[in-house]
Amino acid sequence: MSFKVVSCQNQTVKLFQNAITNKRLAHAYIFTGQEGIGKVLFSKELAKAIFCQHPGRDACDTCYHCQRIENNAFSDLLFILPEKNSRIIKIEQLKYLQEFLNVRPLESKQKMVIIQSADKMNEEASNCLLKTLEEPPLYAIIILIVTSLDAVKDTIRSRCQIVRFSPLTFDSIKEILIHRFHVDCNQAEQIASLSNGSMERAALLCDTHVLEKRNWLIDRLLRLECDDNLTFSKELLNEWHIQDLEVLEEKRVLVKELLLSFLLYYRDLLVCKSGGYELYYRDWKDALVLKSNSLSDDVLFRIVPVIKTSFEYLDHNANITLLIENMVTKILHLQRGVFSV
Amino acid sequence: MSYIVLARKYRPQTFDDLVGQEAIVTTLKNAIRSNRVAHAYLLAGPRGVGKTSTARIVSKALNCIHGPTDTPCNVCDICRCISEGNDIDVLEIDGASNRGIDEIRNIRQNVNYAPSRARYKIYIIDEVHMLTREAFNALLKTLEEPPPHVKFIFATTAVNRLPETVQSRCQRFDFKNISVHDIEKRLLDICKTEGVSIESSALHMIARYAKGGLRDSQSVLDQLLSFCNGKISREDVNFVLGCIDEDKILGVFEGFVKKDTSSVLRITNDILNEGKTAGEFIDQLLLYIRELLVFTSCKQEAKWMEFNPSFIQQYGKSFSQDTLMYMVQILSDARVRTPDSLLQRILLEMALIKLSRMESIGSLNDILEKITSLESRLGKSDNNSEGKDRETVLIRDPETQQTVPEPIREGYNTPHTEDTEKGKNEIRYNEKDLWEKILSAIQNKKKSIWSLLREGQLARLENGEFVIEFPGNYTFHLQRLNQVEEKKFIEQCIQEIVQNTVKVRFVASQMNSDKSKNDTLSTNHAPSNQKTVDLTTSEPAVKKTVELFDGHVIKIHK
Repeated sequence: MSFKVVSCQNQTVKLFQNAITNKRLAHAYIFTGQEGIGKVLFSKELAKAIFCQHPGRDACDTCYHCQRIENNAFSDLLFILPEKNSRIIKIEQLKYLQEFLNVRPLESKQKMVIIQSADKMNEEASNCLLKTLEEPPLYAIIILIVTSLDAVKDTIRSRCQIVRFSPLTFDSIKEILIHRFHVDCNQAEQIASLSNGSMERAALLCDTHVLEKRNWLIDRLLRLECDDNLTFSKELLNEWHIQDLEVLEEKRVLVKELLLSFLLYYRDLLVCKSGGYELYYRDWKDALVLKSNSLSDDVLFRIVPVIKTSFEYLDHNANITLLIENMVTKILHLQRGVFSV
Repeated sequence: MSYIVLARKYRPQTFDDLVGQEAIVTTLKNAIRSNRVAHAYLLAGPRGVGKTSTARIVSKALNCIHGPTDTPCNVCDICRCISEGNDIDVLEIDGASNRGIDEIRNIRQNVNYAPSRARYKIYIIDEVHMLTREAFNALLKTLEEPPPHVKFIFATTAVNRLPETVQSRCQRFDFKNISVHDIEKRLLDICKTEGVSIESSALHMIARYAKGGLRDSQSVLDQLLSFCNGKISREDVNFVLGCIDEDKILGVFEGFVKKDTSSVLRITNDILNEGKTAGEFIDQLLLYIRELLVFTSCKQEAKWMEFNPSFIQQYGKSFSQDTLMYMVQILSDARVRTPDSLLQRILLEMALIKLSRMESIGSLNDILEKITSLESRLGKSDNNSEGKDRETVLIRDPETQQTVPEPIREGYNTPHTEDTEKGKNEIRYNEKDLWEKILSAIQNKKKSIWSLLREGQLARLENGEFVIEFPGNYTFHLQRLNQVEEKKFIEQCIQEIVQNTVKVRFVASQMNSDKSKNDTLSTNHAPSNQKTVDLTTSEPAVKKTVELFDGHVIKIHK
C-alpha cells in the first residue's frame, strides 16, 4: 500500500520522503487537520517507511516489519489513545510512554510513539510529556495527532514540528466512494459535497438512512408552516429516531448532526440570496432559491445564532426534546417576523 | 546516529550564547564572580526563551573543573556530563513526571550526602509548577536552609502556580520574550553554520511567527531545512507555517468593499481546501483588520507597527473605524472552539456573508447628530413653543434642585397656582421625578406594596392629596392598596420625602388598558392592530387555551 493510499496529501508525503532520504527526521511532530482526512493512516504508513527492511523513500509493504505494522503488532511502535470509556488520555499512559522510550529499540534502529487525539491529554498528562518531548532518546520519534492546534499548549507546540493536513478534494472523495464503498455516482456527489473533505464523515453518510433523513428534513423545512412548531419537533424526534437511542452520548451525536443539517439549510438559503455559490443541498437548488426570496437577510442572520446557541446548550447537557422544541419555535417565530422574544 | 533537531543542537552552552536575556546573564555572571550565588533560583518565563539552558549553564559554571567561573570550559568531563544531562551531582528532574511527595522525600533524604566529585550538588527541577501541593510543602524546610553544598534551580512556565512560600525562598528571574530582531540574528547564524541560504523576508516571517519563543522558530527552521534543499524562500515558509497568501486575504477585503459575496465565498473555499482551518483564517483576517484599525486611529505615528504598505494603500480609507470594530466583533463571534470542522466552516461563511453584505457603519457621533437634527426638526414642525419650553425646564431643573430644594416641595403642597404652560411643564416633570423617588423609597421598605404601586401613576395633586391612578382593570391593586394599613404606610413614606402631611387617594383611570396598548403600538393604527389580534387568536394554541378557560384575549405583548 505505502504512501499511495494516502490521498490528497502530496506535499506532506513529499516533506517526509525528503526528510527520510536526507536523514533529517525530527524527534517530534504534530499532525494537525480536521477529522477523517487520513492523519492516522499517514502516520502508520510513515512508520512502515521508517521501519521497512528495504530502506528507501517508501515502504515495500511486503517485508516482515511492514506486515506487522499493518497488523499493529510491531514491538518498536506504540499507539496511545484514550482508553475505552474515557474521554481523556491519562498521565499513567504517558508514564508508560516514557518507560517504553527508555528501553532501546528491539528490532530496528528507531522507536516510534503515535499519540492519537493528543488534544485529549489532560493538564497533568501534557505537562508530563514536556521533558520527554524536548529531549527524548536519540532513537525516538513522537507523533502527536490533533484536530486543531487551538487545543495544543504553547509549550508543547514549540517543541514540535507542525505538519498540516489538507482536507480531501471533492473528486477524490467521490472516487473513493464509488470504488471502495460502491455508491452510485449521483449519491457519491451528494455525499462528497456534504462531507466537507472528511472521509470519515463521508463513510458515515454512506449509510443510506442518513441521506434519506436529511432529504426528509429539507423537504419538510421547505414546506413548513409557522404554527406547527410542536408537531414538527415531534416529527423530527420520530423521524430521526432520536428517542430510540439509549446512550446519551450517541443521542447527542445524532442531535448534533441534526442541528448541523439545519445550519446547512439556512446557510444555503443565505448563499442563494447572495448570488449563489456552491450549495450543500444541490438537489434542492430551485426550491431553495424560491424559498430564499421570501426571507430577508436579517431574519436569516438572526436564525443562525439561535442554532449556534443550541449547539452550546447541547454541550451543557440540555434536555434534548426541549432543546429541539425551543429551537424550532424560535426559528419559526423569526421566520414569521416576530423579533422580540 | 540519528538527526538531532536544531533546538537541541544549538542549545546555548555558555552565558554569552544566551540570546536576549542580557539582564539575567549579567546578574548571574556577577553573582558567580563575586561568590554570591544563592542556594535557590527560580527561572520563570514563556516557552523557548532559555530557562532550561540557563539552569544547565549555571550548574556548569559552578561545578566546572576550572573553579566556579562565569565561563565554563565545556570540555571537562563534568561540563560534558551536565550538557548531556547525566551527571551524578547535577540531577535534572522532570517535575511534571515526578510530582508526588515520595519523589520529594527522596530528594530530602539525599540532600545531606556530599557531592561525589564536584563542588556542589545541584537539583534542577524543570516544569516545577506541576508538583503537588504536598510535594511543595515537603520541600519547604530543605529549600529554606539547605546544606552549603546544595543548590536548587527551578524552571517553570507558570510561576503563578507555585505557592508563595516557595517563591519567597528563591531568587526569581523572569525571562523575557525574545525580540524579533534577536531571533532573526540567531537564525541567520544557524543558517550560516548549516550552509543554507535564506531570504531575509522569509527569516522575518519565521521570527514574527515565533512570538518570542526561540525554540518555536528553530522548530520551523528545522522543518524548512528538511523540506527544501539548501535554499529557503518565502513560499516555503508560507507553506510550512500555514499562512494564507496575502493575495487571498486582499481578495477577501476586495469582496467586502465591492459587496461581492460569491467571490468571498470562493476564496474562503480555496483557503479551507488547502488545509487551513477556519480558526486560522479568522485569526489572520483579524490581524489585517487590526492593522487597518491602528492605521486609521494613529496613522503613521504608530512606529511599533509594521504596516503592509500595499494593503494600507489599498484599503486604508475603505472602512470607517466603527465598521472595522464591527468586523472584529462579527469575526470573533464566529471563532468557536469546536472540533467539528464543518460547523466551524459554516459559521465562518455566515460571518463573511454578513460582512460582505453590510452597509458601512456610520460612527456613533454621526448618528447622534442625526438624531438631534431630527429632534429639532420635529420640534419645529410639531409645536414650536413646547419643544423649547421642555428644553428650558430641563436645563433649569437640576439647578433648582441642587441649590434651593425648598421651592420644589412648596410647589407640590400648593397645587398649581400658575396655569401657564411653563409652570405646568415644570410640575409635570417634577411629578415624575417625585413618583420615582417615592417608589424607590417604598421599594426599600416593603417590596410587596412597591410591586403593586409601581403599576400606577401619580396623576395629580389636589390640595395636598396625592391622586394615584391605575389602569381601569387593575381592581385587585386598588383593593389591596385601599386597605387601611397599606394606605397608612404609603402616606408615611411620602411624608418622609415631602416633609409634610399628605393624603393618598387611589383611582381607576377612565382610559382602559387599550389606550396604553395603542401607545406602545403607536405606529400601527387601529385596524391593523385588530388584525394582529385576529391572527393570534387564530393560532391553535391560543384558540385552545381560550376555549378551555372560557376567556378572551386582553392584551398582546409584542
